[in-house]
Amino acid sequence: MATDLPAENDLLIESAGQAFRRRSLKNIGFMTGLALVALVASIAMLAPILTAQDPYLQNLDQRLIPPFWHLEGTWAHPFGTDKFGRDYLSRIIHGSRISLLIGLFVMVISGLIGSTLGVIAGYFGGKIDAVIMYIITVRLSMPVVLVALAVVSFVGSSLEVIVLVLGLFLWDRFAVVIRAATKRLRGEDFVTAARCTGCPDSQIILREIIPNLMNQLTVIATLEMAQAILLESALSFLGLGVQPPLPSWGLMIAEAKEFVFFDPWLITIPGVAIFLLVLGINLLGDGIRDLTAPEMKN
Amino acid sequence: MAAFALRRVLLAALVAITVSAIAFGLLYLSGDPVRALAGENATDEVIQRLSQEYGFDRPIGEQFLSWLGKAVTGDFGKSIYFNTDVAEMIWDRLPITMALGVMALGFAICLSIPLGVLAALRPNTFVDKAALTISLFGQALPNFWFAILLIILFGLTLRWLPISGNSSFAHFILPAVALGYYATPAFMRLIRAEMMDVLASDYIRTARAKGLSTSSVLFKHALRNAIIPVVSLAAVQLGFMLGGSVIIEQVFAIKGLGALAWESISRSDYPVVQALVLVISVIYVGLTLCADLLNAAIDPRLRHGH
Amino acid sequence: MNPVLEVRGLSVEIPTASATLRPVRDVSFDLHPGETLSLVGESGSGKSMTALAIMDLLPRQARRSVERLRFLGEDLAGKSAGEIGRLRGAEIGMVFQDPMTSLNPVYTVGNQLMEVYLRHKNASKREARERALFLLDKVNIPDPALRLCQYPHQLSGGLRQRVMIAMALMCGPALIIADEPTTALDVTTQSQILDLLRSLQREFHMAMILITHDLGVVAHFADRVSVMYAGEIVEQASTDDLLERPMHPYTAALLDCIPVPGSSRHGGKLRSIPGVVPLITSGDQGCAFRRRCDHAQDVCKNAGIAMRELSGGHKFRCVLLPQNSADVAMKNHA
Repeated sequence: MATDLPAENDLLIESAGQAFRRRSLKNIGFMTGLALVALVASIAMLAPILTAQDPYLQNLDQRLIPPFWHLEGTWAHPFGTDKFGRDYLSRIIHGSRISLLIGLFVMVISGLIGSTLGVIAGYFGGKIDAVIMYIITVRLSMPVVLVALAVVSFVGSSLEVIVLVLGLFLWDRFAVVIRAATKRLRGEDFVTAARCTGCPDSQIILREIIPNLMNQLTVIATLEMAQAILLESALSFLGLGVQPPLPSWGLMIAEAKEFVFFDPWLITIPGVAIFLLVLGINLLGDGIRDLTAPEMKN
Repeated sequence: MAAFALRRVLLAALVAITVSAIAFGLLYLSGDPVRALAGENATDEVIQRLSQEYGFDRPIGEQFLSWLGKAVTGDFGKSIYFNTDVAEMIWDRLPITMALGVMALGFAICLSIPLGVLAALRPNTFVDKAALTISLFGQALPNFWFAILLIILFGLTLRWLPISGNSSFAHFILPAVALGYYATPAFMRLIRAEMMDVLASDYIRTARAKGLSTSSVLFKHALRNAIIPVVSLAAVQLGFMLGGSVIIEQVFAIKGLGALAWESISRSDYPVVQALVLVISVIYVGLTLCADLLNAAIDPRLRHGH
Repeated sequence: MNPVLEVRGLSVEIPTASATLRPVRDVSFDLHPGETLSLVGESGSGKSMTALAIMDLLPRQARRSVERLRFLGEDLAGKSAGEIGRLRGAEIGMVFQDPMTSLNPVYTVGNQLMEVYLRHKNASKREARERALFLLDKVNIPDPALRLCQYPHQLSGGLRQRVMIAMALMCGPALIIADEPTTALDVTTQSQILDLLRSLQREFHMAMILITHDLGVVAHFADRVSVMYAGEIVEQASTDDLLERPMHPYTAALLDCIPVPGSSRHGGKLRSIPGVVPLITSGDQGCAFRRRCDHAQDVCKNAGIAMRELSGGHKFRCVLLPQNSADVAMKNHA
């Protein structure tokens, strides 16, 4: 029985979208990341419905109740209470809003700054590129945590200030990656073709370059969001980020530091929350990279 | 090579000057720099004195140049809080943070090079997946939280290592692990990627076609090429660690630059903060400069101006 | 005379997620001392993969199977990786396609040359250096002492390929495999390198496998030719025989692609073969060339197209009766 050689067309009929969905189902990391991020996002959105307890309500009679898996634990406070008797579960739930909000806003601000610089440097090259590379070098040589701490402390801490400071600091990776990608795209035939037909630069950037950067932008955006969430938690941990009584996960760890001997769960629970959210975002980013641009995979 | 080095040094100097301008500008963030310097409860007399000392009546460019001129000679002024010489304070703390940074870097490299090489040799196997998992976890662990977990496990439960202070080598082990772990993923991914590229290269095929032993192919021909970009990353990461030590020094009560930074920031001790930002930035600039020159020395293609 | 290299039933398989690729299928040939055998075919025909399979240098995912693989009377198929490593570089030298990337950028030319000699011969560094100088001189590199301390990027492509040749000859091999040694070089350098290879081959009495896609090169340098298509040898004959009387439609088509000065063989037009070499997977049967063949018939879809042999060892793998069969003795080749 003779079988024919497979025709090339048989292999190509699947659309890009179909292929993406088919491969994404096989990519365990991507699915795990998606599930974690979706979980945290829905917790953040449904926070008031999910918990009846007020995350700010202090009850000094009910201080430091351990979580349910301890012998003394109670289901009235599944994750126990903190040193002011506030329900820990509802603080964790409301804390997700802070992390996600900061992550998203910082990502947008730093993404706008970084990719604008990157596209301009990569597209125009020459002296403009040299100047932007110099700006990137200056930015990289400044110690982020230190300067952010100083600025937040000198200007005064609030959610807006933290978002602004982190947004103004975390654009370096956007700029570096987008610059390199734009440089590569600029040498491609379709861009040269557009230039030959006399298309203005702004048109080429908007129509030819930027649509082709979307994959990379998505991947860095997730990385930067994770980075922003980690930095916010670190600043809050040092007492110069989100201010009490807001339930920032980093701040919750700082407030629990003194109980590390006897009530370590006060530290582990918010830590696990940060870890899972950041892990989820990173997995999502890695997954998108593997699925959209396998050649970017290291 | 000489032209490359000269260009690189000039760029480093330019960056350092820009950073110093930013460090100087920090003072103006709070609005009135004299008030900020003097502190909230300062008397008019103190404000008068400071104003003259710093020359706030002069144009800002002139102020900056005089501050920079002094900074170049190592004079960062006096701490508002302690009224002691800032340069001396920094000089006292620098070795501690440097030791912490170098140990953390050493830990990161010792962990990531073998893992990265193994992962590259056996892609998509258990080793590779384990290395990838470690790297993913490393990127997602907030380092202050990881530090506290280390304290709980090795300090409080097992009682193997001291958890606070900087009086002996053992005191630096947990902080170095906590600080270095965060850099491990970057190193491992880089080494894995480089090593896979190199192993697929034509010259490795040539080396194998020459019948060289596996160890010679791997270490002499492959690793030597794969390691070149690691030098740059090491410089960058060490720079980040010096800045990031603020958090770790806080957790482990180490009296280094990071702790000094945190204390000065909380006390609004502006001259110290300015000096620290400048010093750490300049160290970073210096490190990347050294890495570039070192790269040129170990990569013959760069050395001969390619 | 015993052959230097005997290859029987050599196949390579690469398992992938969707199918098992078969880039080399049932390749057999002999190579005699001092002889040049050319493997010819388009890119993707499996000629380089065949060479790598003989050298045991296949990529990690690839699996090799072979009925018989004998080198200088010794069985290679059963040897351990270490034993084959002892032969590579010592008894079999290899020259690769791209001299720009085939030398390690971070070591000097001398280091890379001497390294082979030190590995395989029980020699001192000084002896290795002398051998390297001798061979750099042999491959016509001026000022060999200077070149010895230079890095690859300081040499032109032609010089680097000469270094690669010197490296392949360091230990005095019995066989040299040249994988498209001139493809990456400019035209004037190409013929110099090929002339050099031929004169060295004669001087040191080596057998050579010359892998190329250029039938012009074959006509000038090869004693015998194996034409490969989609992993199979489709025709094998002495160079003169093959050029005079191509039996396989693919060989004929390849010959049609070469311009012949002063000839009006094709009414002055140069032909090209439409399409590309297909990837053969384990499910595929029949003649791989049939989709591009002008003479394809239903019978070409049948499995197991046998090698047929004419007098003088001229073999080909085609079911179509050759037009000029009347005057040659035909026998079926099992």
